Amino acid sequence: MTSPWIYFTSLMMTCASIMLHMYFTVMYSDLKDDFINPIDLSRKLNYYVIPEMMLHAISSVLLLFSGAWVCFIFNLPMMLWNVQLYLTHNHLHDSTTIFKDVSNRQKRSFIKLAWFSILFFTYLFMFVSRLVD
Amino acid sequence: MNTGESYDGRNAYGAYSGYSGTGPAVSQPPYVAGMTQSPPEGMAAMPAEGMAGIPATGAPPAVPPAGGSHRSRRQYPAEIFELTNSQTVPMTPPPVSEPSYVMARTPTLSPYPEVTPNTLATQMGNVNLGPDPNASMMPASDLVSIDLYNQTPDVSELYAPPPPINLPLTYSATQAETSNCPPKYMRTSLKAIPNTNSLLKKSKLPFAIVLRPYTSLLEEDDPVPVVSDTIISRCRRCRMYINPFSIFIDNGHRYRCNSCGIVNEVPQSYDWDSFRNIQRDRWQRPELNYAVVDFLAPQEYMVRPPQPLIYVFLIDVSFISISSGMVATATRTILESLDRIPNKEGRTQVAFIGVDSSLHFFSIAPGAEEASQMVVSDLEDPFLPRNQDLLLNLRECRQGIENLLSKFNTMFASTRDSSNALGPALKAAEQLIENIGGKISCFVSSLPNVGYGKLSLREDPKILGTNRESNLLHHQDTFYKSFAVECSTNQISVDMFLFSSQYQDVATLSCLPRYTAGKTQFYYRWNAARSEDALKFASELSDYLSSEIALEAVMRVRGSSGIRMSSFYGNFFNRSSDLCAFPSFPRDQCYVIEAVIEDTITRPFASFQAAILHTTASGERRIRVVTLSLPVTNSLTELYASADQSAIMHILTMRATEKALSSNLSDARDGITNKLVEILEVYKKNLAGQNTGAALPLQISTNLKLLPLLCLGLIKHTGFRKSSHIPSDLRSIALCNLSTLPTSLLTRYVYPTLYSLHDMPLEAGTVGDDGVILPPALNLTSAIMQSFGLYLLDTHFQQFLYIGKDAVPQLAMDAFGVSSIADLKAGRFSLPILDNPLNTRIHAIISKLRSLDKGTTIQPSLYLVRGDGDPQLRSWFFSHFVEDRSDAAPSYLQFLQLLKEKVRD
Repeated sequence: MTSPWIYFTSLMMTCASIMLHMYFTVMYSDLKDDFINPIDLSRKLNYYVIPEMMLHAISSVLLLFSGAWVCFIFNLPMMLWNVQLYLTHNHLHDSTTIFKDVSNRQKRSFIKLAWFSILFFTYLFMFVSRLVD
Repeated sequence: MNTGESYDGRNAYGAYSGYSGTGPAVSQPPYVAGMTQSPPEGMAAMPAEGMAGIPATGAPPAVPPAGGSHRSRRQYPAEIFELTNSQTVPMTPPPVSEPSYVMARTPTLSPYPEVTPNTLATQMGNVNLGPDPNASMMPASDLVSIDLYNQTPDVSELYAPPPPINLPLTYSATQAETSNCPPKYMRTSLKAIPNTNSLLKKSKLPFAIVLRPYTSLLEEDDPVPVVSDTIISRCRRCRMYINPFSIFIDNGHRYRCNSCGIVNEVPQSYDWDSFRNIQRDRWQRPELNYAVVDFLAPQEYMVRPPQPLIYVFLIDVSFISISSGMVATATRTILESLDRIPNKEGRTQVAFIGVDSSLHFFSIAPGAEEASQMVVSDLEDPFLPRNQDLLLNLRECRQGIENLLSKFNTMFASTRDSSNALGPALKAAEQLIENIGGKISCFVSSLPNVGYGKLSLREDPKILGTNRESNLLHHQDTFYKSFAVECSTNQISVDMFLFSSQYQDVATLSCLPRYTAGKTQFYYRWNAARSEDALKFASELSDYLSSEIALEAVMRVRGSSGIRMSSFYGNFFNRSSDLCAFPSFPRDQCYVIEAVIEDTITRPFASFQAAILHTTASGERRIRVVTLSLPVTNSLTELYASADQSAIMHILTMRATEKALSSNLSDARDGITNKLVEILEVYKKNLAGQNTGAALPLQISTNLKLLPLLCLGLIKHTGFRKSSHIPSDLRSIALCNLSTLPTSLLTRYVYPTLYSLHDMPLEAGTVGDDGVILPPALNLTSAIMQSFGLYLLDTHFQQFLYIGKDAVPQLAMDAFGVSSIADLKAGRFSLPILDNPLNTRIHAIISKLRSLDKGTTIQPSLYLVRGDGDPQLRSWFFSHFVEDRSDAAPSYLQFLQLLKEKVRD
């Protein structure tokens, strides 16, 4: 039986990820509207790229070790995607090509946002149901 | 420049003098003896044989000998004449004119070829509808369909002017002929703008601007009118500059912006000549008469006072570099070109840094004659050994600089150091000029292997031609990219001159020039011991140093309301979504900007305007404004009739290059083919008319008929071709070249020009109205090559002279001064100067080809290919034959077949 606090930790981490991606999407639209230059954007966002991936990885591993198999499997595709992005050196923002890339990045952030929202409610549900049990 | 001397002295005859004893015909070098003895018989017989009346180009008029025979010894086998008479070569209309820059100024009404009567009948049936009366807002051009299968592509039309712009001059305020932009500065893929995005989408045609703001290295070769009273009127909403298509209202007190339609005030002193203090005629103002003008910018356009021009020469002094002679050639050329570097105001500065395993700085105190050398070996944190005297004023330190350059090579001559700390040296050079900006010119002949940005030898011949090959075209170290961004913000641009003996990693090193608006030049297997190599590099470097240059430039391209610029291609850094930053603006590059249509355009015409704000080398802040206005249409027919095949090819090239650099080569090739298929599909569905009979033709409009050929040329180009024999360095440099060349040169690079020299028309190679007359261009198919012929192939970067294995001795004698082709050495070559018409004409043609475009520093290297010679050289030569089948790529007809299969109904 997984402890409710594991779910709570994951919930918090997911919260953080959601906030980060909201920040990302806002920054992308700022870039499109010329409120920020590509060099600053890359510097600011690249600072958070690895932490964001780590957050997700940690919460997934936490779920794995605490025996929440279903939740872990639910997280696996995203983890693999992150690993793939990292290995192909596609995770960081490159200020020289960002304008050709920004729509893709924005799409990527939206997908992650949607995914994290689903995870958020799942964790919330699991947390509350475990607490009630 | 003494490189010219070395050409005459060292190459011209020296290489061939050894052969002079082998054949009786050349027992006497004619140049030595010709003055005193009577000219050889054959030469004298020439004028008598019907050549009279042709103006001689430099060849001394030969005196007919007293007892000269009337039979020319110069007759090549009779079969040549038979063959030429019976038409082996498609006889193109008048001898090839100069590729069409001049013609482009005054567009002829119909650039389309004449259609032969029998095909005309069928085509008239296919002419689709004609312009829809209520569809078109402008007089439409006619769409003439053509069946690609039915004819050999006419390569003489590759350089024909693009379809004319059907915009009545009445839209222009002054109605001057020069109101609209000539295609050499700016051309679009479509000469009529679709009024809605859905129409553009439906047509599948790419919509982009090809921009070449400068067409010559020196301003005086192509002067542009200057608005010198610093009155710059711009639209208050869309910021468009006033241009010939602005509409004046209210008795000329106000004008309506032709881009967004808003009404603006005309500036107060617009009609006042402030230099002479008199009223001036507004309609004489250059910006209302010319589509391309330079505005002198007032104070508001300056962020800081104009900075001096600075060149930092970063010279690799490692062992390989010294032994290949690169350092000696580079320093000698710089020394000789010191007077050519732009320095009107006397502010230009230079600095020299030598790089091996440590950094060598040189300082000269003002007035001192000798330079002192300082060595920094801390590569972790490279610092400047002194605060001053490293940047040398070209005028004040002239003596010291000359002494330094003349001793430079000997200083390092005994080196055994094989390291190259390019990264730290770049950092140091950046520190040196970070507050001023300028140019860093790197001369590198080994792989950087110590300090920041060291690169590994990653090329593995096994992976060439496989999918993993594409990784070799991507950068291997992020240092160069991030450094490029740093340089761009500090207004520094970096140029790379790379000399390889082995793997040089052009892919990674070219990142720096790509994002700092510099250029990469690659000299493959360069060695100064070959005088052709030394000469080529020296003349290119000298032209590079002498070309005018603009600093701290930014470029913005604006479109009429409803049009937005979406992606930008070329060497620069995108500082914001539509602002391109150039630390220095090169004069030999070209840019492509793709546009999208966001709103329906309701006006009858729309405009594009590119504005380049820059500082000239003499310290003036100027804005070059290029405005192009085009009619708007809502008919697909007109879109197709107005499409410009060369511009479309240029856009596809840029897209493919980008794909090759970001993903892989097969995607790049597929992108080209797929676009072509889409275009053919749309044409077939909507415009081609009914198909009759079983034989389904592959139709396209006449103005696009060479597009498939150009696309095939692209797919087979060194940059994209599927092959396991192309070193990745050569691929990378090809991609660099493809993404910077202007359209006319790109066309030549993609589809090289082939001339037949042994049977060229009599007037070819002589001086006509537009300079030297070129022979007609031939299709690139080896089927038309005669085994006894002499051909010239020009790819812009190389020129090949091909002599067939059965060439008669007389041809070899006249062209090269050897008695038989067996005496010719294939490979890098200098054409000897001989005293006979054929040789003179070949020289004239070659030099004409080299001077066709004034906006390039490239001096093509000349190769001699023998029909029975080195198979590697031959296969390289024949790899340019686009219409032939090669191992992995189809022939032209097969390619058409392939397209036809892909085009679905």
